[in-house]
Amino acid sequence: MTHPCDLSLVEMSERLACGDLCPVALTEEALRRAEENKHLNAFVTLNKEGALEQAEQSRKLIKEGKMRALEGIPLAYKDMFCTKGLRTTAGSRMLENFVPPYSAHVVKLLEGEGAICIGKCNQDEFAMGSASITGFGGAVVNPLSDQAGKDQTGKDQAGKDKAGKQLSAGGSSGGSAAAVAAGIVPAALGTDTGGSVRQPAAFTGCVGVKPTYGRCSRFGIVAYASSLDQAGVFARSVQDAFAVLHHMMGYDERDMTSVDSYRGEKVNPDMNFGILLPSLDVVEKYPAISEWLKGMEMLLGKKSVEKNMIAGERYKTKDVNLQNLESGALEAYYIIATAEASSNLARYDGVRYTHRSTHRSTALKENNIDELISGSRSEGFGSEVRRRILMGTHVLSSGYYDAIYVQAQKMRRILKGIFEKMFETYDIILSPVTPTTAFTLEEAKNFSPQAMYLQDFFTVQASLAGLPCLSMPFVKDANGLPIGLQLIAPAFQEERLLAAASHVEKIIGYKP
Amino acid sequence: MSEDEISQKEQLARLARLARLRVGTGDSADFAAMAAWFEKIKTIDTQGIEPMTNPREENARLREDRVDDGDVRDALLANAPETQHGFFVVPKVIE
Amino acid sequence: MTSSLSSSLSSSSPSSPAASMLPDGWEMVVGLEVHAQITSSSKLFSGAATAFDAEPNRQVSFIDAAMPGMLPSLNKRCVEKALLTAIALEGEVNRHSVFERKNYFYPDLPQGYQISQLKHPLMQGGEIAIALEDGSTKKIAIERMHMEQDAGKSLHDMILGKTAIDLNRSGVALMEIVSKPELASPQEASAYVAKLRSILRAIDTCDGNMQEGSLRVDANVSVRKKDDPKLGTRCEIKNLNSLRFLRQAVLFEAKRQITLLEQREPVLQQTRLFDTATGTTRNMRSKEEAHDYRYFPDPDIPPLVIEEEQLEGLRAALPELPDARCARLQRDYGISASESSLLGENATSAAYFSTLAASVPAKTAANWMTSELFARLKTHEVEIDTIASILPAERAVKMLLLVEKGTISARAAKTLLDRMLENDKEPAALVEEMGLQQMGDEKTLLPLLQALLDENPKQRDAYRGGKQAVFGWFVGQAMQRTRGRGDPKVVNALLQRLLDNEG
Repeated sequence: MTHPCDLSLVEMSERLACGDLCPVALTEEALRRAEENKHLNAFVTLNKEGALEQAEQSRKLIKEGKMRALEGIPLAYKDMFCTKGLRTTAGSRMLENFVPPYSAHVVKLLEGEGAICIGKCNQDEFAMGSASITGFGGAVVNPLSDQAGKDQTGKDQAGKDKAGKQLSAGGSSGGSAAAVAAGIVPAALGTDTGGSVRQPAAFTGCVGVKPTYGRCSRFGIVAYASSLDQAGVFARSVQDAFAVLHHMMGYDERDMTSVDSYRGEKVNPDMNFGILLPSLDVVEKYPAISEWLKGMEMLLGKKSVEKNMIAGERYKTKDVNLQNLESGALEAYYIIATAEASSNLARYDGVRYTHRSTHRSTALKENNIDELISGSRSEGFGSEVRRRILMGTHVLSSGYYDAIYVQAQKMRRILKGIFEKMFETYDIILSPVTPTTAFTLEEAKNFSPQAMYLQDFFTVQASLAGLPCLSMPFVKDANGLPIGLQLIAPAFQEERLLAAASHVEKIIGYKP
Repeated sequence: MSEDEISQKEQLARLARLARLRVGTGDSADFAAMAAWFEKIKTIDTQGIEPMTNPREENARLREDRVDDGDVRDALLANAPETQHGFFVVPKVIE
Repeated sequence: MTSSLSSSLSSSSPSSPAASMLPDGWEMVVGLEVHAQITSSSKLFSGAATAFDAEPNRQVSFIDAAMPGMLPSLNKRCVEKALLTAIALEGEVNRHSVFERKNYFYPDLPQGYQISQLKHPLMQGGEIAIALEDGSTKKIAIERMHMEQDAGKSLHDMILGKTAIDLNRSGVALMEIVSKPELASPQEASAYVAKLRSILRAIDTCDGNMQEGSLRVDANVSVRKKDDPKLGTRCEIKNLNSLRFLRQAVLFEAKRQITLLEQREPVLQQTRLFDTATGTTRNMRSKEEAHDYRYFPDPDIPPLVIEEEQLEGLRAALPELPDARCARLQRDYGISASESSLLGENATSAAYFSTLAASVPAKTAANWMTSELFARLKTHEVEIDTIASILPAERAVKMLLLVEKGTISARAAKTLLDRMLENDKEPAALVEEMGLQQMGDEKTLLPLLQALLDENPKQRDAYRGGKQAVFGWFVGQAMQRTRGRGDPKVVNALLQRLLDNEG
């Protein structure tokens, strides 16, 4: 018998509706599991009292027949989502004690449907990272860590190099992914700027969805890169993920970049899949990609794969310059993201609500106020954040603005054009999510900044173009670790994405 | 140090000042590596392409002129490190 | 309740005399950046209120305080008013306009950047016509106008050793109007601002209240030898909040630069502050380092696209502009061009004039306002806008009617006016109190004049002997005896009669 907490969200909801399941018991269980899985370090703040209050409220409403769409469903939110009255840190010392007097728009929408907030999830500081190791609360541990090197029966598999080691849950929304993968909550919110929902989903064996840019209001979400950030959902199935996402989308007049809900077309059941694969030398470099390709051939048949391959080497037309999808996209992403971040993080200055430096030097080289600001920022931000702010300042500075930043923005438009071209032929684009499976925390700590950035190799393109996409568990590597499959749809075609992903999910039949 | 290294160091110091951050000894090498990496974007042929600031390029939707916000001083000051008489307080700023 | 003129008096000396204030052979070049707060209920990007003088931090939303996750939302009315201003200034509206971030750190700049416009401002070009002292018109070209956020306020002297920050003003909508460097004197600078202010008020896009800070001026001043085509190094004087300070600051700065250059020292490009107490400008320390503002298009704000329909609608709804108002007064009331220019420049004075002209002849009203009233306001450095609280139109009408009816003489009216500007009393009451009634009654005058003649036989005989000029002396004496209250017509007639009578 499946424990209620391990049911799909949809089933959970049905059981709650008919009275088989009590929301308070469900929330209590979620909180208990959170405690039990403390070693994963998935949470920054647990919302014990608040969650139980909300659950009690849900219980009343269900009894009164006033059940809302997500009534009593326990969720967790990445600590980038402001939650009124509940500490929100963005994984940073800068906001270590910040209690927002407001909630993010999407949080309000979900709570308006009766969802329960179990707690705030750990992450990379200010969403900058791909391993969830830079949060001030420490690294998130992938729940699959103790499974590595073992197959279903518990017998050790070949390739035990990751056995017994702590694995990264990916980043920057590692905590949210871990909370779902560990069965603490059926769904959790993350933010995806360059892959920060898709990559942790791939590492932890979950589904991770990022909608079209503008579908979900960013109001109340700590901003990292304004033109790239989007709220995303982790869940254990495609249906569950979209069940939550459905209630988060919609125009918010407080976010000028948000758009109205329904602009999708009718879904064509006979879909054409295009397969996006990098050049052969990249494929050969990464074993996980080879596995992925094998998986593709098993899924669609070798002939079909060959026919629909949009690969750098094998598909060359003068209109579609695939080169740019590999080189150029990653640089463009980091140039734009760091530029926007350098400006978005300027508000954290020690004046109104952040950490404030108390150290005062006796030799005043700086003006008092500058000392306060520099001191607060240098103390409050970790090294990765400081690095990205400096790089962003660099690309916007005079002498570099046109050559680097504007150039990156042009690259962005080129990418958008490439996708539009591809979607003339294909309904859905398939690609790998990450070059590798979950690396160990030890490896992560020793990555050079650029090695870490390479994790985003497959995910930045859809972010730059603002397209809806998701990662779903696909096949496994020699260590038994999940390899993800990315689906990308045209702008505003979430319905199509849902249909395609559900279809593929059925065929794959992935077992965690 | 080479001329390049010196100018990199100066650029980094300038950036640190602009960003109100203090740079450590390790930051120089990191900066140089990333700056070099970013230079690669120059190799992309972008002739005739307009820059794209945001995927949403549709016309801005405007808000009605209405007072429906503000007057939340207590909440506003609640997280402040230092306040007095309803003001945010910082060390004296010399003009 | 009205206030008297004395309470509106400012303590300093009258404005500086015109022209030729600089050493020989030098001229000044002035360009002005005017920041005008748009009259709207809420701020440019948030729904917080914009009213003046609220308690600190009461008109601040979480957006204005730049809290995590907050986003800007553009105010429709602010855009409309800025567009209306662009039309009134005859500029070219940029139909595709972009907001950019100007990045720098300052405690009263919560976001760490100001949302402004750089490459695609709302308006480009435009011009303002100013009246020079010789009566001619000079057209001053405008470079551009854009929209931007105002910053909060830093109070440095409130708490010892600390700076207190009030964000009420943070995020209020501003129009920044930049002129080309075509102003050649403090008076031209002042006239430009006054004209701009009257236009903005006429179309209700800014209340132009400089004391409250709704209109602030930054002046860019440089000097050069006459006939030198090149521009000298300029200095920017920030935040001038009165026309008088503007004139003083510009003049001081020009002289300061000339002194440096005459001593063969260079003028350094600086940002300076005007010290109102000493009347001097000084360098602003915080602006010494060159700023790299790293402008880039704000990714939170889609482009602002202006449709032709909207512009047409605004053009059709444009209120009467000052120049048009002046022309109308001249046409409808038959007054002179110079009178209409003085009366029509300001909506308040135009309305005041119209009220007077409804009860007394237009020529009388115009003449009285431009020579008597305006002169006194100028002497006391009070602006016409406050006239309703000093001398309401209805009371002025009553006074003018007393002159029309002959109750008081024109001369007495001047004395009466001075007194009326100092208190609230009705003119009729004051006339009684001050004994200003004209004497026009023959019965009273005749014996008085007869006595005058009898007491001065020498002059009487001189006149009768043919010395016509002595008549004037008698008139003067008669006026003295009546303490200026004699009705000149009657006095003249009676004197004539008595003197000619020989008896």
